[in-house]
Formats: sequence, C-alpha cells, structure tokens
Amino acid sequence: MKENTLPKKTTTLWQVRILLTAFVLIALCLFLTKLWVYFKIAAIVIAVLGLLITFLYLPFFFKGYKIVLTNDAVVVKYGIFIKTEHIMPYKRMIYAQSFETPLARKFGIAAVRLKAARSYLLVAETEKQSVEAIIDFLAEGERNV
Amino acid sequence: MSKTFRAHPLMIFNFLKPFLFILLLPVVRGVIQYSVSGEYDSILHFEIILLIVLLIFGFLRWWCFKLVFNEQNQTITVISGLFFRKIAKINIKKLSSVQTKQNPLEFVFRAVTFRLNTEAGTVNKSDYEFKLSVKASKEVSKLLYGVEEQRVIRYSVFKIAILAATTSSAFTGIIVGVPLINRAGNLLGIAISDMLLNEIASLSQKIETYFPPVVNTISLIFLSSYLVSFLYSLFKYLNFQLVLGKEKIEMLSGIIVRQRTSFKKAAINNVRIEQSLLLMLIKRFAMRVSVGGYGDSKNRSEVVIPLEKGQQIRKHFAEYLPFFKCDTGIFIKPKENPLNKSRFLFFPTIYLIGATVLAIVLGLRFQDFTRFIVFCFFVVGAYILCFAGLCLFECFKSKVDFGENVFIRGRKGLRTCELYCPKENIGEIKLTRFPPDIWHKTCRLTITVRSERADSLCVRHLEYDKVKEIVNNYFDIKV
Repeated sequence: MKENTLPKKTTTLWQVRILLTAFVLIALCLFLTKLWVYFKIAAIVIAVLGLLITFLYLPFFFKGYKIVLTNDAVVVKYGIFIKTEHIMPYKRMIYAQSFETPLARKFGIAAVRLKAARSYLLVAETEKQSVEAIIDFLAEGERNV
Repeated sequence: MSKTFRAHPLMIFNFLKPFLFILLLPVVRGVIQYSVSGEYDSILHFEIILLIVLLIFGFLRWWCFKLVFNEQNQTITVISGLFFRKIAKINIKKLSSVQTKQNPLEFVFRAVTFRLNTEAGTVNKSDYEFKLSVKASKEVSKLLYGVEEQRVIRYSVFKIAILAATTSSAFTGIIVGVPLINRAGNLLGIAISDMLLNEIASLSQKIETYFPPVVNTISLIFLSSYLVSFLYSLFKYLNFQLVLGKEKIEMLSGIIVRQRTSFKKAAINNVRIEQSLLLMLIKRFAMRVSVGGYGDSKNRSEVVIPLEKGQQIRKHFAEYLPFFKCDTGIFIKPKENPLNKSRFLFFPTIYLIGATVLAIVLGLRFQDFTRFIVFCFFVVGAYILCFAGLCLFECFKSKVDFGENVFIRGRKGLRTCELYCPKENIGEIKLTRFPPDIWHKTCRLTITVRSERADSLCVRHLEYDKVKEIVNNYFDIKV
C-alpha cells in the first residue's frame, strides 16, 4: 500500500484559478455598480470569499488530499468539513484519462479521471510523471506504481 | 510496437457543425449575393473572418488528434484537444464495442465515423467518436479483433420489414418526423407542417365513417407517424447481415447510412428473446444482445436475429453463445391454480371495469361526443385485452431458472421476454411484497443484470419461502 500526497504546485494552481475567477467576478460586479449600487456589496463579498478560499481553505484541503494505491483499489481521501473517501476497485475500472488545461501545463501537472461504468473518480492535478505511471498501470494491469 | 493513426480531414468540418447554420450558410449566401448583384452586407466581412478563425481552430484540433495502437501492451491511446489536452489509454479488453458509420458524404470522401465504446461512457454518447479514412478504419478493426473465419447470415427483406414493423411506433415517428418537417420548412421558408395538417384535416372530412372527423384526423396522424417510423427502421435495418466469428460478432446494416458494429462475444452482458404483439400473431421471436456502452444511446441493445422461431434461435446459438445453458432443474414458477390465475387477471379486470365506467359516465355527460368516446373506449379496451392475454402468459409461462446461467421468462410491457445471463452478471435481486403478497405468502422477484443497460425482468406471485430458500442457496446470501 502506497500513500501519495499532491505536490505544492497543485495548491498554487488552484489558488491562481480561484484568484482569477474572483478577479473577473469582482470586475463584473464593479461594472454593474453603474446599474445598481448594491453590486458593490457583492464585489466585497466575492473578494473576501476569494481570499478566504485561496489562502485558508485550499492549502488545508490539498494538505489532507491523499491518493492511496492498495492491491485491489485506488482510494482518494479528501475534505475538511466533510471527509470523503472514494474507493474504486481496479476490477471496476474501465480506463484512465489525463486532462490538462493550458495553466496546468505551465505548472507541469495534469489531472486524472478514472472511468468506471456509470461513475468516475477524479484525481486532482499531480506531477505528469505520476499521471503517466498511473495511466500505464491501469491500462496495462501492472501494479508497480 | 505502436502504430499511429490520424483522423480524416472531414473531421475539421465536424468541429464546425455547431456553427454551420449560423455562420457557414450566411457566408455562402453572402458570397452568392455578391457574385450575382455585386453587393454585400457589411457584416459579411466579420462573418468571413470568424469562419476563417474557426476553420484554423478546427484544423489545429484535427492536427492534435491521434489514435495510437500499441500492439505489445494491447492498448489504444486517444490523444485529443488543442488547449485542453486529453489523453486516454484504454485496454483493448475493456472495449465493449466498436462502431463504424458511413453516410453518403463520408462515402464520397472515403471516410467513416468511428466510435469506440466502453462501459464507462456517458449516457447518449460514445466514449470516443472521430472520423477515420476507410483504409485506416479497416486497419484499426483488424488490429483490434484480428482476422478470423466468419459465418455470414443474411436476412430477407420480408424479415427486416417485420422487424421494422414491430420496432416502430407512432411516437417514434413523431419524434423523427416533426423536427425534419420543421427544419425543412424553416430552410425553404414554407409552413410545411401547417400544409400537412390542413391536408390531413380536409382528407379526414372526406372519409365517411361512424366516427366523427376528429377521430379520422387523429387516426391519420398516428398512421402517418407510424409509417415514418416504419420507413426509418426499414432503411436502418435494410441489408442487415450478421457475421459470426469465433470470438467476434459483427452486424452490418443500412443502405443510405451504412453501419457496422463489432464486439467480442465476451462483451455481451445478456441475451433477450422477445416477442411483441405483432410477432405473436406469426409465432416468431427477435433476439437481442445487450452490450455495454453500445451505440448512440447507452440504453440500446443490438438486434442479432430479427425474426425466427424460438426453438431455432436456441438451437442455432446454443453452441455459439453459452448463455442458453441454464437447465439445471432448480427453477421456480408461479403456482397454476385458480386463485393465482385470478390474481394475474386482477389489474386487467380493474382497468376494464374502470374504462367501461368512465366511458359510460363521459358518454352520458357529453352526449355530443358519444361517437368519439366509443372510439376511445374501443382503443383502450383492445389494449386492456392484449394486456390480459399477456398476464395469462405470465401466469402459465413465467419462470426463473437458476443454473450456470440464469434464465427468466416474463412480461415486459406489452411483449413477452426471455432473459439469459451468466450468474456473475446478476447485479440486483429484489423481492417485493405488497399487502396481498404478504396475505398469500407470495412475492415478486426482480432480477437486474449488472450492466450499463441494467436489463431487468420481474416474475410475479412466486412462493415467498421457496424463492427465499433458492436465492439464499444460489447466491449464497441471506434475504
């Protein structure tokens, strides 16, 4: 049994994503202030929430994010307020798919989607080498990751 | 050793499909207008630039698409996406089916739509759909399934027509026909649907029957919808061929749009032998196999035999498909006694009484519509009688056989159904007891196959204690 954690890059990537989204939303709200003055309040709320998620929630969330490869299944554990443990037996897995956005590519990381019938397990962005190893392992049925 | 395949350039236009009507057609119209009158709208510049940009993006997306077949590891890698890059590695064993489709345009450009299906795909969508050249598609199929001895079975047009007639419905006809009529009307700028309705209304006025014209109109709409559905099914299944290899089953069908579906015997989850009301009249059955992740719609199964006698199906396929070996003597069926018979006929009787009472009440209340109400009562009554007949079939013929494979015979809607599946493919066993079941110490047993389609069949009014005992021993579980 091997327990893996996510690299620090993943936290940074998500922090950038959240900050960018918050920035766009705040800009939109400030633009709409011309129509209705209360959009200013929405902008402040988004700014506070964005900062809280970026600098408090995300570091803790990804610190507790664990990927465990047992002999029979992949187990992903995550969550701060609601703890989740997602188990997917190898036998149920159909194929694995890596997914990378332009921003993730800059960081050299990619996410993996493990597909099973009627469900899937999403493993957050991790190092490309690990992603390739996971995909090869699942596609070829070897257990040497 | 790995082999890389590129998609057919026709795929570039596939990426443009969403913009076809809003961009490509106005540009073509603008260019024609300019060449004829020498004038054009100022917006045409913008449209042409946008089209060029989209074409470049389409080209780049096509360029990024790759299909890599690794013979050593027996895997297929699908690489796609320009900005959002996706790489999927699929073990060939996990492929449930491979489908190729060729429409007339693709025929001209020697291309096919290639679909890779697994059980993990999303509903109503293949896992991967792309265009390949005919040559590449043949090569990929050969790499996936190899070359083996094959037995080709062809079916006559009559059998295909019966299959089309039994699988068609007025509802499907409406679903297929109405958008087509609307689109054609929009494109030509003519209200075709209004014209058709007016024509049907005037025709129904001319037909003189006991029933009022509105009944003729409704009947004509239903009949024409059924005809559309029938023709659609007929053209879909025409030229149907079944190719039986040692490990692979292949089906070819269609004239205008040619379709080829291949899957391994091991990918079959269950087999169903069905008999609809029309097939009952000619004492024939249709056989379908359920393959995970198959086709456009994930809840679809493939017709293997369109029309044959039940015994012949079992005889021909007993050796080929191991699903039919299930006669071990451990079986359960409803008791054939007057009480059980009356229980099976309970709902048809209730429905018939209800329909009669409703027809009488409505007839007395709305005397101007008596003939219409009589017509509706006849239609509903006919359905209820068919339902009663099938309930009697359930009473005398339904059965669950627990062998190496599980065999269930029962009723599914207005058709009889026999379901065969291996023991390990059983997903859910459900025993349901309604208050009368508790009173009579019976239950209904529903068995669901563990597959994407999740085929299930239910047998009613079985002895509860016996079912419990058999299920307990057979599946080694406690109920």
